[in-house]
Amino acid sequence: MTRIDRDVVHHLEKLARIDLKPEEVDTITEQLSRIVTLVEALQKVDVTGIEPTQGIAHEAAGPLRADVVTPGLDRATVLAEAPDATKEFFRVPRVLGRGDES
Amino acid sequence: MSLSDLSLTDLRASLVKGDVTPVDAVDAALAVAKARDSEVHAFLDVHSDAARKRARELTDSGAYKKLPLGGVPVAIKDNLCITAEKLTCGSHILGDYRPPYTATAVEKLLAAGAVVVGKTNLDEFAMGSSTENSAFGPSKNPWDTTRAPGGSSGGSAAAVAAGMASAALGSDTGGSIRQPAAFCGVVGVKPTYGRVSRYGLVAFASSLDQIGPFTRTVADAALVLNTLCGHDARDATSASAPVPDFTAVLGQGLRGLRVGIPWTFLGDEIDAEVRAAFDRTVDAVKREGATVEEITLEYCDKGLPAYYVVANAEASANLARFDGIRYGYRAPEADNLNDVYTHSRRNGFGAEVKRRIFLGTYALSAGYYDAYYRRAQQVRTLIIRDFARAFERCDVVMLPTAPTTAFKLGAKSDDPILMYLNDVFTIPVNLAGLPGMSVPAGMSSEGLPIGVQLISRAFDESTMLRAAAGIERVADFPTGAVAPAKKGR
Repeated sequence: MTRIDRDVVHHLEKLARIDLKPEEVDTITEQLSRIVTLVEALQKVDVTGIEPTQGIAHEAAGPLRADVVTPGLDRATVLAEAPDATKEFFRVPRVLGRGDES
Repeated sequence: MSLSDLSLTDLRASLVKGDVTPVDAVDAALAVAKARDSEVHAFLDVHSDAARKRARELTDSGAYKKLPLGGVPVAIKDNLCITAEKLTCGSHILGDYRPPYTATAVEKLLAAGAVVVGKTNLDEFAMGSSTENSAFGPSKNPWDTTRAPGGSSGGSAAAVAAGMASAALGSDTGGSIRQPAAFCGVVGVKPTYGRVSRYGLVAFASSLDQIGPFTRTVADAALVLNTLCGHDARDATSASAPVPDFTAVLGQGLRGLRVGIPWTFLGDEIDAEVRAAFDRTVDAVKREGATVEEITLEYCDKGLPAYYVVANAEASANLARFDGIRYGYRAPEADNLNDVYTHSRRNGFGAEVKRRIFLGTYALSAGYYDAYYRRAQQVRTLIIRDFARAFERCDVVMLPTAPTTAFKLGAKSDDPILMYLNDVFTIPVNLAGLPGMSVPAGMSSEGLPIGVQLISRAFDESTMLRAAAGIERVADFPTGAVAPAKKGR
């Protein structure tokens, strides 16, 4: 149905926020094409009028917990795992432009 | 017989009698890990000091005698959080991450007196069928270390098979407990979707993932399930269904059970020895008084393509959280926010994870959503109906667990589709949210274990375990066997 080519893969790189290494592009293009061909088998199934299953709900409704405040994770402990943080916040490099433009 | 060769049930009996202490049991497991794990590589991290300390505390207090898993050494797949212990998911992207909380399933084992001996190897983010996708190198099959232990929970299966733990936790999204259990000659159970809380499990595909145990006997699995199952307010998908004593029915045998076999779904691409072991098991269950019904699972041959759309679409969303901001690895050269994302993810994720994120992203992208994602979800509905119809005529469905025995390391790692075909018999069970398990049923001429898979109705693990216990008694496999230490051939 669709051909996976390098343009499609470059578009997916943007959507998935993964810059592939140059040597990865051809491999993943070829492999994705083969996997999509496998997945095309789904097109042969008559699904007219069949509701999609989005998740498994064996029980009519999940039990709800009481609406009370419970302790969350300790902020300092959580921030200690961040690659970069202040005492209160995660820290990231500048959002716009290059770091050397400041 | 060494202490590490005892089944969990027998080890508990020895502990309760006072013949051995938790210190003895944990030391025995750690000794096997020390002797064999340089070759098997089941563990990513052995918690020797913490395990010895806890075993000493349990021994001194004596509390272990009354706890259901008191003093039992267990191993945990390294996609389950334990407070302040390194968590990798078999990936570089988590860096030196140490989670600030413990998974409910692990908490329950600890509350029952178990002792965690370490974290086990896995395919990166549980994506794979051989553990060869681990960023830290593959695990080996303890029965033949030139072969894969299966995956993705291959480290947990190998640890139990080699006697490095009496039980281990794994996760199963498309067969990641059952297939390595079959390859390693142990029991592996994927409970009903919602049976076991997933709080603290790193998500792969949220509508499919389920945590379950590896053990060397069916009775051991029932004991661990008694501890693991039950509602948890911290997991919104956790079910409130009552939890029976899973050990209660194990002695009831196969007589009167209706075993459904979807002969046409078996196809002809099964390894001849796996098929022969399956056929012998069918004969055995008949001899033991079960009736065998032919059933049809019309759409289950579309399970594999439906799974690779649904699972990877969900994975592409779940793995968006690994962005170099809140934890784990950040690409050091990135000097703006977008590069933090795109470079950290490029360097941090391995090839299979990227492949799956790309496929999932493709299936969810504008213009393809209906053709792939929605259609896969519709096929999922048809697979659910297949099983509903089957269970009108039988109590358990029986299938091979995997089409082959353990394959050579490297044999399938260059061909993703060949690797995916490992899971053809296990995937439909996840799509339908049903319980499934693998129990050793035979041994190949090369000395490799062969498993059969049993599937039951939702929340009816008891019937599945009862059938498995019946098969275990008559199977051509030494019940509870630890894989003997030997060189690969």
